[in-house]
Amino acid sequence: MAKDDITKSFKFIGTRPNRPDGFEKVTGRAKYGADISAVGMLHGAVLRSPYAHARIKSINFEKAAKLDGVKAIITRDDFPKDREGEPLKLLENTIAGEIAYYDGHAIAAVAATSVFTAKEALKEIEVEYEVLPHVIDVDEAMKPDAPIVRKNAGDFSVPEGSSPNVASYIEFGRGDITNGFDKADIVKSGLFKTEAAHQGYIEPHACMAQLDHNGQGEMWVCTQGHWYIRQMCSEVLDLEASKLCVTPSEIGGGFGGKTTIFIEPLALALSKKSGGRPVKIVMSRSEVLRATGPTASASMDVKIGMTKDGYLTAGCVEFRMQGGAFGGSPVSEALQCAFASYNMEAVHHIGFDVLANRPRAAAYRAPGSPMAAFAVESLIDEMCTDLDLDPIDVRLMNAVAEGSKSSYGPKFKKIGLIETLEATKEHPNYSIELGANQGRGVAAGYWMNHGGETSVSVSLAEDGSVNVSVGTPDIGGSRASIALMTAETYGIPYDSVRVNILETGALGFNEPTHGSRATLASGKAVYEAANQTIAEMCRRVAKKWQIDPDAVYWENGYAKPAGPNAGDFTPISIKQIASEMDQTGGPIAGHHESSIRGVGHSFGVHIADVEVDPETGRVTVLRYLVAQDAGRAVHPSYVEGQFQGGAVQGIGWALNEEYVYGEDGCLQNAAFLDYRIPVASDLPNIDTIIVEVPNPDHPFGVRGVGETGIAPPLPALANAVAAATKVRLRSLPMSPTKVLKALKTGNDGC
Amino acid sequence: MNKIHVKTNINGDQVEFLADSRETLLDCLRDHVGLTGSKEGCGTGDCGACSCIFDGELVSSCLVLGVEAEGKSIETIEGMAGQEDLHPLQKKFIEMAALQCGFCTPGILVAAKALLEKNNNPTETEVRYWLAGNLCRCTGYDKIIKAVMETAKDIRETA
Amino acid sequence: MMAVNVYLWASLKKFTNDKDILTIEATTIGELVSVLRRDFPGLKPFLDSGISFAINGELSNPNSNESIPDESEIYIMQKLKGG
Repeated sequence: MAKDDITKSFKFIGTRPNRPDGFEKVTGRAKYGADISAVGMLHGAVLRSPYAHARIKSINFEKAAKLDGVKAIITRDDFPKDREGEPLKLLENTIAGEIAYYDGHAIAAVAATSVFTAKEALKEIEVEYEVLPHVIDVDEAMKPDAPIVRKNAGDFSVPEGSSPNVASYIEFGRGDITNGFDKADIVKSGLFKTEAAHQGYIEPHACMAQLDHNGQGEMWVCTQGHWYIRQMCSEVLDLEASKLCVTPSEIGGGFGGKTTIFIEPLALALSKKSGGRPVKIVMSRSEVLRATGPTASASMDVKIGMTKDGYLTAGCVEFRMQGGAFGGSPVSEALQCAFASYNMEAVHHIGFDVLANRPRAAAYRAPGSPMAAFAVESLIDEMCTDLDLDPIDVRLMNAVAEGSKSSYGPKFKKIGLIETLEATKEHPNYSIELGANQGRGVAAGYWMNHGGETSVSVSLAEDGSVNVSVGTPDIGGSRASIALMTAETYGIPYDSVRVNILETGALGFNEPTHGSRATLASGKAVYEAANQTIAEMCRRVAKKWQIDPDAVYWENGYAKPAGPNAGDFTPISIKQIASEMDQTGGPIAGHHESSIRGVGHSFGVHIADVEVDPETGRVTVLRYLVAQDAGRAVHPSYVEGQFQGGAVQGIGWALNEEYVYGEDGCLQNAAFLDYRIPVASDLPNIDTIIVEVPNPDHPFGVRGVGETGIAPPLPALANAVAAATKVRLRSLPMSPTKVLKALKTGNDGC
Repeated sequence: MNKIHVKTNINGDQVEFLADSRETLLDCLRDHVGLTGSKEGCGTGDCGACSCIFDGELVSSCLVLGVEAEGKSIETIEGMAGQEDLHPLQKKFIEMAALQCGFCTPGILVAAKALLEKNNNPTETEVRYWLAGNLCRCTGYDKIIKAVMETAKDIRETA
Repeated sequence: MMAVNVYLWASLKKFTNDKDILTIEATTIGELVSVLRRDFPGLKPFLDSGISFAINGELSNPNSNESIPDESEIYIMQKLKGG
């Protein structure tokens, strides 16, 4: 099928078959990170800083080393001294050097013959700390006299006179801002704040690693991207990348948090120091919350101008985002997403990436977009209320479409925001009557999606079934979507395709399953690789028929003569071609490697109905609708699953989830009991509308759907709470305490 | 280190293992018996990924000591499917895409089976509250709840 | 040689004589980056920090061999990440 020939007449795409890995996953047989053991394996455990900021004056592990069963103890001394740039930051975050930068920062690690022995040894390690002043809040860290997290941390972009905790600065925009605000009938501004939220995958980080003194090693690890693990571990430990073979386990959720390293270099270093014995490290939940993830916390100023009819005339944002002790908050992405849904003549964006004594922020589903959506979509909603305008109509009036210049510059190709807005407006949820203390909120959200480096191979088995090899771990059904696209390309049954996820030695470099790219990028690459094998099959059939290869075409699993001039031949099936492979030139396989192009932007619109209990401040979500442009839903059930899962993570961020720090700068809620993610009884069904405006640059029209869904819930719920209570909360989470205070005092939480 | 000899019954099989007195039932299942289907998501009884049936009771196996298994009968996810076929809940979960990463799935299936054995006609609210101790971060629970409700309906219709 | 318009974020203007739109003669991304490095040495840390391009609206990873159509609109942005 030609690339631009995107029709609805697919045979497999759009159907809902059982996922190929379903059986293993419902029977408990699927192997996740902690499920593997090896002969002679040791257990690793990590000593972590009890202080938010402290100089490590000395570490004495003599007593610990004498414990029976302790085989290796490592500190920063066991790692290369000459790392710089990003590898140095990765190393610093993996294990502290002179200074522990946050509560939970790794200080030392032990490998022993049992988990209990390893943990006992940790207690015997004596560390002398000099406690240093710390800073947790992003606005506090921006002050000129704030405690300095790391000296000389600012990069080339930081303007003179900035706080020493500013790591980088970004500014962009276009149009005449003053003139834009002059054209407005109302101009409104506000300060908005969100707290850090953790990705909250249920599977804690786990790996088993083995490293010999000659620098050759292997690793089994739960990760979104094993080439990233290989690259980062190699950089941190100064290994030759190809000597480290990384095999991905099944992965128990990641949401961006499993795209980087934490315990992996520690396990390798412990293995090396214990003479090459395999070492397994499994994090506890408390370690996961203290030392991995989370996303950034944000403090955001927004100013928007609107005419009385609802046209947006200008917008300014200044976002300050704290991404932990090493920088790396998603502030540039947040700025790019802020006004991306709207046609605005004048926009201006300023962003600060700020350091604080917190764990290094990791990517979290549409990094930056949820915070930006909270600030911008909340303020637009306030203006719609002030002007008595329908929030969907206002968004329709201003929505970007094909050819619109995005708020961050480049022009959009074909996109589906208008179609998505129209679909939500027509949905019955939008007109259900509400009762007392109830309110409805609308919000839009955006994610650009990502193609990225991709390498796949496809091979024909001797019976005509097909093996597909990809490097993107299956985190939520991508084996199924890739098998569907493969079946569609060949015209063979879905069940005749097996999708395998291979280790780092078996394919070229693959970026992780991140950026909503697994189905989009691996799918596009598999389509190219499969077409190579189809071309080869046609060549072999052409030889058999003694005609020109161009006179053979492929349809529904058969090589066929192309028209009457090609000759009168009976079509030959893939099964027959495969069974004769050994006689016709040997194996048939195809492969594709590239940085995948043709990413499709995805817009979403959510409608939330809530009821607020005026006595307790508790917010109950009554009904919830997600509409999003999928481009093409390859397996609609898993597309819905992405919409629903993203929405519920957003609901958690909006209502419950936050990092709570004490005066001492230590995390006070490092457990699932206190860091409360949504449970089944908190929620209604999550209704979905899959909008399909095909991506013209993908062979099947796919856009990538994983991330957008987490952005709109934050403002949608804030807008719904405001509608229910007539009080606006500008700070998340909207916990009962905060809502109750707002009801009593009108305080917006900031 | 004093290990304790434990004799128990797991999924209908007589099993013996040596347990450290500090080990949880979950540790023993995973590390001594090789049944890694039960997962540890928290170790503090908050997430339900280690749900097992312990002498007929639904428990978080991370909150039970391994030595407590002596003389008891334990059912885990590995015992859920029959010799010939999957349990109706397992089938329905696959059919209705009620799992994404699959890590919480064993615990949720064990807990849902316990519910349907007590009550094969639960309301949606009852299902949501019964499963409130089983965290899932991927699905938003929608398809899980629907799969349990559908299975209950099928069970009632074939009963 | 063909000319293309390169759009930079305003915070980089201090390295480009206060201009955020540059007209540059280049036929490939590689040539474009070389010209930027030669004419605006202050951009080096930015160009080294990991960047991506939008060529006529299409976002992509940097590929120095990629050819650029005449009169293209090119935006240079920080390297894209995702969750």
